[in-house]
Amino acid sequence: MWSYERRLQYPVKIDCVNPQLAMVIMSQFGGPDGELAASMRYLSQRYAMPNRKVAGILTDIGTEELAHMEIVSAIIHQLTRDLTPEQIVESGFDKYYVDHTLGLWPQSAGGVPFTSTFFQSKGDPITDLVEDMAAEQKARTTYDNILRLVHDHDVCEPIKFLRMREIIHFQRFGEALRIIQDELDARNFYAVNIAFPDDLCKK
Amino acid sequence: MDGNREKLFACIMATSFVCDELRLFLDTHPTDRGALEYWDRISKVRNEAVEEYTKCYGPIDSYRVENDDKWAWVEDPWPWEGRC
Repeated sequence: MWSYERRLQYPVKIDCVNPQLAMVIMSQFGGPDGELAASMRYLSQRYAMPNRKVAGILTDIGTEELAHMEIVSAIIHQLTRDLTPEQIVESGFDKYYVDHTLGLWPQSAGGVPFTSTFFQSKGDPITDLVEDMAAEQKARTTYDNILRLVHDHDVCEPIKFLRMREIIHFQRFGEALRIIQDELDARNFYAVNIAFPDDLCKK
Repeated sequence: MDGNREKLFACIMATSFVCDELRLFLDTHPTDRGALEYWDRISKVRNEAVEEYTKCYGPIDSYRVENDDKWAWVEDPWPWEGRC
C-alpha cells in the first residue's frame, strides 16, 4: 500500500520555460536509466529476495524512486508550461507536442517509448543487486550529462539533489550485496541462485 | 505563503529528508545505535511539525483530512505546480 504526500521530496520552482531542456531531462522520466524504470525494477525484484533486510531496501529505494519520478516530472512540466506555438516550433518540441500536447508521457530524450525491457527482474539476488548497482551508476552518469547542459539554477538544484541520491542508493545496494554474500552457503562458491534452492551448487 | 507556514513546511521537508536517508541506512544497519536514536528524535520533530501544519494550513496527507463542509484535500495547489 502506498499513500500520497502533498509535497515533493525536493522543491521544484522554475520561472523560465525551456522546452529543449525538457526534452533532454525527459530521459530521466521514461528513458532507459530513468526514475520510472528504477522504481519498477526495485519494486518488482523484491518478491524473490529471500533476505528481509534486502527486501526492505528494495521497497524503500523503490518508493523513493517514485518520489524522484515526481520531481523529474515537475521539472518537465514547469519547463514546458504555457508554451506558445512559436516556442514549440522554434525549440523542436513540436515532435513531442503533436502526440502529447503539454502532457507527460514516459519516453527517452530520443523519443523511444518507455518499456519494461529497460530493466531486469531475474529472480536471483546476486544478479539483481549487481544490476541495481549498475543502474544507479548509469542514472548518475545521465544526471552528469544533463548537468553539463543546464545553466538555470532553478533546474540545476533539483537535478544535483537527484544525482546525489543515486550515489547513496549505490552505496546501500553495495551493502545489500555484501549482506547476501555474507550469508552464502560456503559450498556455494559460484553463487548459484539462492532464491531457487536445488542441488546445483553441490554438483 | 506566510512566514510561519513557510517555516513549518521547511521543517517538514528537512526532517522528512533526514528520515528518508535514515530509513535506507537503517535497512542495512539495523542495530546502529546512533542512527536509531537519531530516528527517534527526528521523527518526533517531524510528527509535531506535520500535526501543526495540518491544523493551521490543511492536510499534506489525505488520511489526516478533517472536513468542514467540503473536501479540503483538493483545494490547494499540487506540489508539481511549483506554487506552494
